[in-house]
Amino acid sequence: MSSRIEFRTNSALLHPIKIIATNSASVIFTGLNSSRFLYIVDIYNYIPETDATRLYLRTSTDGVSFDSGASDYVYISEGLGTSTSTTKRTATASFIELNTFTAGTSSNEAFDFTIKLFDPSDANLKNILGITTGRSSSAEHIASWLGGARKATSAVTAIQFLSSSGNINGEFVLRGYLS
Amino acid sequence: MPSIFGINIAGSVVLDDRTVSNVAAIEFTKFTSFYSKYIWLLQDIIPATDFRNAAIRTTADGSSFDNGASDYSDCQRSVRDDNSVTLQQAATRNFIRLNTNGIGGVSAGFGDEGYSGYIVFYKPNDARYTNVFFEVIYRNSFNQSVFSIGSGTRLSTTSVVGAQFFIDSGNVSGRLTMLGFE
Repeated sequence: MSSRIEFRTNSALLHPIKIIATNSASVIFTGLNSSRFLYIVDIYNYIPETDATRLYLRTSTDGVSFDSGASDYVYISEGLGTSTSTTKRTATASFIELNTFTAGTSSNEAFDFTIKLFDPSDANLKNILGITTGRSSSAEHIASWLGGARKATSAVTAIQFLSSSGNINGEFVLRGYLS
Repeated sequence: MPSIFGINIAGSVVLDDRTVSNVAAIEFTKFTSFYSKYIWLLQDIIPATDFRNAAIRTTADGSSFDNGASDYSDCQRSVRDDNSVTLQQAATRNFIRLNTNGIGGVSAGFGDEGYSGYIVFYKPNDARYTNVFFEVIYRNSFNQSVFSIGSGTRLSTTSVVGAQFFIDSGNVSGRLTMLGFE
């Protein structure tokens, strides 16, 4: 089952909203609109239910169905661990992959993320930037950073976080920055 | 509401703001569970001596800063203005290193040195490994600009209540501002 919350622009403007995911199928924030020029999501202590998996981001224009077409997204990411490094470039994808290194389920393996979504209500592509830090499924400390986009000009009103396989755990915090 | 670089930082508070001159370290010991994320803004940091490294260590008691040889891991990628790329990768270290090339210090005498950027601490009060992420720009000891991005972790599940910023040898001057995010 997904964890869902609506971002209400007429209340708590200066305070974030939080979702604690406990074995949730996905985390969904709805109610994004043009009153904010920037949304930032911090994800703390992200641990997947299934080992060696990746966290995905998808967007929605109606808050109900999330875009999952094979060419809906693009992303570029680069990551560095204490002994490895990796780069990903994908011109067409059905999601934006947020962690270049896979997340794990063993002791002390967890990721923290910061994801920035730029002006989701404008008439341009919906760009995001993200960073990740933590201990990967290979028990290696890692850092990664990415840029990506939803390749459509329609206003995005909701975002969804889900795993490449299985459920997710963690604290998801959304902030909206006043236009 | 705090405003940094013209952007309103929603849900955040400036917890401390210090400008120091020629000190051994800058220490903040105000990490609590009230804030989820802390950001340290580093501005115009200059080591007293040339070719030095910037670093942080954490503390669990607010007074002694962990400095064991296997207390931290870190990794970072740097790009210099001559297009050279440097990786720093350490599975174990006695601090989290915040640069690759040696930072130009006062003793280098270039006159335009300075190290600026930010460090993010993710829920340091939690009983888990404390992760940090950083981005910095600085002049190195050869008077070249260097951009570095990377992260580090305290390899312990003990709650962290503070951290110190220091230069691996010699004193430091500059400004450090700490923001707390709910």
